[in-house]
Amino acid sequence: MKSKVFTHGAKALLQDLWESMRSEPGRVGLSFLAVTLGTVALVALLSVLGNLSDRARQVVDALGANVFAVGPVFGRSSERPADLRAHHVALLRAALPDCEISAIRRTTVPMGGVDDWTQVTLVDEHLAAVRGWRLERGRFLDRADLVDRQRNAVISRDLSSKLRITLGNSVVLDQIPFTVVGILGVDMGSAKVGTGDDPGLWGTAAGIYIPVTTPVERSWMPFSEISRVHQIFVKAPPAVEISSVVAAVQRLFRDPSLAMGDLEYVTPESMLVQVRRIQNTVRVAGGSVAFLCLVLGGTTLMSLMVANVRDRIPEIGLRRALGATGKDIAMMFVVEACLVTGAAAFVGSAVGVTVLWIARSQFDAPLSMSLSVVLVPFLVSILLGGVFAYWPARQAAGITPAEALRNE
Amino acid sequence: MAPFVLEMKDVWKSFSSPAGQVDVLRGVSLSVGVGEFVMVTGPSGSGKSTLLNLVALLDRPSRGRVVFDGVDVTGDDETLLSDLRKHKVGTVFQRFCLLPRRSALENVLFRFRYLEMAPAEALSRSRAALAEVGLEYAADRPARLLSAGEMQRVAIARAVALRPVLLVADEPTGNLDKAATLEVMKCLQRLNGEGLTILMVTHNEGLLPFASRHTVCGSGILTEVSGHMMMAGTCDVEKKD
Repeated sequence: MKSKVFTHGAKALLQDLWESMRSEPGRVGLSFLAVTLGTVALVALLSVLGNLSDRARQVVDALGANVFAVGPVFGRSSERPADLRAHHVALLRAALPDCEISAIRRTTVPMGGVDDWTQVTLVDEHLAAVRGWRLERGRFLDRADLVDRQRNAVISRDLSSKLRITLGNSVVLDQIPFTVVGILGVDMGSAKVGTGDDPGLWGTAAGIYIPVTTPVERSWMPFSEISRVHQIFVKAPPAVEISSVVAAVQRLFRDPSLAMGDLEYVTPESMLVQVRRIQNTVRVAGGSVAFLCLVLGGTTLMSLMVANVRDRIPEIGLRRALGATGKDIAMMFVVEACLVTGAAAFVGSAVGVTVLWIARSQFDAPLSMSLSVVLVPFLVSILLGGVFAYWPARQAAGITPAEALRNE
Repeated sequence: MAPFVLEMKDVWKSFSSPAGQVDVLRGVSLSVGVGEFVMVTGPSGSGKSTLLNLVALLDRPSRGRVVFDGVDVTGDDETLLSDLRKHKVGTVFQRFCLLPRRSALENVLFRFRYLEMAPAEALSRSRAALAEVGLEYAADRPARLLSAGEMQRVAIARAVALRPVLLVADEPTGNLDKAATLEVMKCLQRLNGEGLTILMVTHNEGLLPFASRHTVCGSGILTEVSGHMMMAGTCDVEKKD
């Protein structure tokens, strides 16, 4: 006799299960397929949700600690969007002397080496400090750049690597060369989300920052736009609640004499609300799909288990006649279901991770990969197998030996 | 060991049906002594299988008392019944109840599935049981490829591999032709000769010569017909000792 002699214990149980699975390949295959699909769906859902959570963190990081932004209502219809100007920034600096304040203006220009027009942000020397940006190389624009109206630029890491531009090289904006004095260390394109459709708030992957005092060509910006401000960033002192500073700014700009239009205040909290709204939408939509897939898999499994129990009644009778208790019989069916779902969950997780990896690497899909993305669907599927097998297993355990053998 | 392997006293078994309660066994009393070969015959629906289920501890009586190997098994203790079935009862079924994909030897080994026994010992006992029914040559053959007579002998080997106190056989020749029937009956007779107590249910009265006692089951009542080999003259299967 070969080595496969198992009379009792886990190995004997596994041998029994292997035997029964081999005898019903179609049935087992169908359950396997359903649970695999459910697991893939759950892996994808968790990956999307995980990515949104990552984004929520990035949003706060990108905005800066204790920082909020004020700007005209952007991307939404407003009857009277605010017309923010440089003198409003001066007013704010005077009213909030303890806060660090930076203002930006945006424009788009044709750029050498880039197919399309690119966005250029005109900034003061405070922006990097207010936003908490770190420089990968070089320095940020300083007071001298602004006073001397230097044609210097700071560019994003993405742009630097895309155009192979490094410190001391030039970026040519509408045929005017700007010398690169710094490369930002933050990934400017990754944190754009929700209200942050405003690229000025987040920067862009191809971000270029030049001094706000640099003379710009008339074609870049009409004269009326020269003093316009698209965004003001306010960094509250560490000991001060950001909400109280927001309230102070709101009070100031509500002054009727300023005749200020509609403003939007973007705080870390409001950004998180946006992210959470998206998270909830994905959770409900994706969760429903994943839940349906898994329940479908589970109910398929359950119906197959019921049929399995019915077909194996004589075998149940034999086992009972040989001394198996109802518990032994129930355990056999539950373990069998858990094994099928476990194997399906393993394959589903592997397929899910492969699909995610391809989606991320080939299509730059916003997906998160972590251990929980794989582990949670795996465990949920096994649990589901146990839950959905419980009832058929109980039915099997409830069949008396005499009744089972009568079916023989 | 108790003087009787089995004692049933005034045992009733009733089932509910849409028409009301049906009494399948009505006050049956039966004692099976050590080493006896008791054959229960009777027409279909007479309660033979119900009686066999009670004897094999596969079911419980509605009323009355059943003592198996000195243990009162009338109560509701499922664990006790499972335990006795596991260790002391061997059962042979009309349709063999073999696992078709497993070999003859693996089917016999299955007898030990719910017992904690060293695999080597289980293997040796299984081989011995197969030898006892003359099937060593088919040990590695899948059960589905065996003849009906061989299948039933594998089932007998499985039932006796653990040396049960009582072998219960439910129409063991019901699906067999004459030659296979003879094979199986000779096998049972040999086991009985070695001291194994057997209770067999059959509708084939031609097999009575193999038994030491004959009891007829009719309308839920047992009637003792004969003592040792009283029916030898009516055997329709050639009996060779």
